[in-house]
Amino acid sequence: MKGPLGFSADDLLQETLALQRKLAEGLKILPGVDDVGYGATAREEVWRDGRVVLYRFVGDKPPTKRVPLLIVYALVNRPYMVDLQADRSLVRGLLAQGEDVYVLDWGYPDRSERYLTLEDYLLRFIDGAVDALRKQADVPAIDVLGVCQGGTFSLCYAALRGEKVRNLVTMVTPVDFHTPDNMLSSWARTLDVDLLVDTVGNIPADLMNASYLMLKPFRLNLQKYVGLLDILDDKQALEDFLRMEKWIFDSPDLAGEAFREFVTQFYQRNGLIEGGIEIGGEAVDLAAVDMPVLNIYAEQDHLVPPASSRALAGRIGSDDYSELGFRGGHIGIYVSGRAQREVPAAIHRWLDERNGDGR
Amino acid sequence: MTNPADDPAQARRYWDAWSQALQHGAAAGPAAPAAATASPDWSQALGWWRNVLGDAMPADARAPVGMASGPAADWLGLMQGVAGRFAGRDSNSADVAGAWREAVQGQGDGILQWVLGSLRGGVAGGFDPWLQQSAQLLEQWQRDSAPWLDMPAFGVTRNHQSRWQALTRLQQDYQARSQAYLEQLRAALEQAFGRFESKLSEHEALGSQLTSARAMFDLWIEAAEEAYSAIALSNEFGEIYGDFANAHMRLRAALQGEVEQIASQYGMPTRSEMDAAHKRIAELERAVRRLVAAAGKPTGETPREPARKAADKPAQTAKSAAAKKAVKVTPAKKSTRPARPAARPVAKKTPTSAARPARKSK
Repeated sequence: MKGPLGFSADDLLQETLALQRKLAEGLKILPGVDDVGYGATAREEVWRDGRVVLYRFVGDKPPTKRVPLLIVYALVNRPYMVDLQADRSLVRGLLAQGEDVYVLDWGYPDRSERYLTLEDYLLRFIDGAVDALRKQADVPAIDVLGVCQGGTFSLCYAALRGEKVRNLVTMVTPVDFHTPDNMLSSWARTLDVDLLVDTVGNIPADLMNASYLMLKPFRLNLQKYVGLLDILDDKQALEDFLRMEKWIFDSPDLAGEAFREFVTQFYQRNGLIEGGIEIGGEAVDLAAVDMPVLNIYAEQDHLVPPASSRALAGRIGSDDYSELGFRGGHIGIYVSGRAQREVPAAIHRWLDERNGDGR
Repeated sequence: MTNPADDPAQARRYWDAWSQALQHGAAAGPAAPAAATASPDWSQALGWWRNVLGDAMPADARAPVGMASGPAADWLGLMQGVAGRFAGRDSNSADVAGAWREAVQGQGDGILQWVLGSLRGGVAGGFDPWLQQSAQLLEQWQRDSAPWLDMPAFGVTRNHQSRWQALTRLQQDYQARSQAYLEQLRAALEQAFGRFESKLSEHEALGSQLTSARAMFDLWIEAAEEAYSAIALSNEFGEIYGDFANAHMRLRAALQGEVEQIASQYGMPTRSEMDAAHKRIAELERAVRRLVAAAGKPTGETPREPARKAADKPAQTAKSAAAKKAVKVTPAKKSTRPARPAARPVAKKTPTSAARPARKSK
């Protein structure tokens, strides 16, 4: 056969029959799949302010590190992505390395929290959690690991309250919001964010999800679900798929005022690069970030392009800045098999090198 | 609906019948009509499959299975049909891409419903079903009241009529903006056909041919994403997207205003009133927190640990070969900052990072 297609009618028949067999297997397996849970690691609440809860994660063995490691997640999804399941858990990997791991859970803001601002998130919640950990561990400063938008928050917090941050790790964190490959930012710049927030109050999670799906509409709305047909005969793969799907769409609404400030200052004005960011009346200057910083980015990240994260280089005050490029996407950096092997170990090693006294 | 676990015979009978139909078609040979060989009625088959699963499916699976057996299966089935037309025959990229274009365009906007519904807030799972319902009522009302809405507003109902006229204009604006946005999506689809043909041509050499309908489907997705990305990153798209989103919000705000009008007439609390109360509480909480912090805040900075000083640390050393490869060290640069206060007021803003020299390294 000449041309781009090298299959016969019988090949197509076999392909169709194979898919038909998958569907038949799906009829047997899907009813036996339980509603998927998440969270592989035991945890205990150690601090709370309103809906915001700080959890300590408990590993199989006591931590060897005395200084707490606080994970600050984004507002747009639930933080259990860092502890999705036993074999896909950044938290578990860090615990296994001896870190004392804490995660700040933002909860699900309701209408009464529409007027929470970035000041509340950074200088009330993050600062409150940091103070609680400093007091509990009796240390002057803790280690902070910020993820995605939580990384941006962590950078700002480190600039404002740097004396409380010993080491800072940022993961898939947007810094330059105006890189040419940033589709989300390109759209956000034409948005009348005041009109949006004044109209809907808190930003509905479904609206955010619709926007994310439109970043790669064919892949995320069609191809991904054709992929689901491929795994109908594999219960474990099905459960993994459904768990991930649950996480993707388990999104809190976003507090309107904080959203307004974030879009205006970061997406539209690109304040971390251009300057002018203010949190609660205090100016944020990256030059004030003078603790050691490890910046981890994903090389195939369509949400936070690598260039957006790597823009941090040379813009902070610290003379101890390292980068780690991970071959994978925005989500794969937490859940892929390679991520499990490489990322927690790299973080621990980097921290260890800076605090070789075992603390 | 029958649980397949309860009646596996039913499932078996269905698949047997489908298999026989497929095999019968294939036995007719390569020249057999495409519909008989490789274009099974996917919608019907997967609709049946989904219905059989019905309540037996875990709740978490319902939405993804709905997508898999709905829009995703529609597109894959469409590609199967095109593949069937060319199976076992010589072909060229232009003909295959042309057939695909014809198949997709033959579906009209229905084939894009999965994306349009979401954007318009028009279907289950869309982000703004409230607007959809309200918009339908509004359209009906506009039809019924069209002559009156065009009249000049005066008298005791002047303000009401004026507001409703504005609402009508917002609805029209929203429809126009959403149409412009839809045209962008159609343009992306149109460009995707060209990219698909180009990508197909890369597979014409022996040894690189596509060997399944699924491979064709994946190639199409790649082409479609590339075409979409090129358009979606353009300034024109950004403007049209913003116009669409902003028109959406203007209409929604106006509709909410009408709801508040009705609520206040019946003495019911409105959302604006609730928001005002929430705002006061948030501001009070913030003020209290600042006062408490100011009252209890120790003066001066918490001393830093010596370990964090760069001068005390060796240059980054990887502990393994893998680490050396993975972690790239950014050469140190000298910090010239003065000691930093615990909190800086805006009035003492330090120079922005943009004003500092270009970065020294990556």
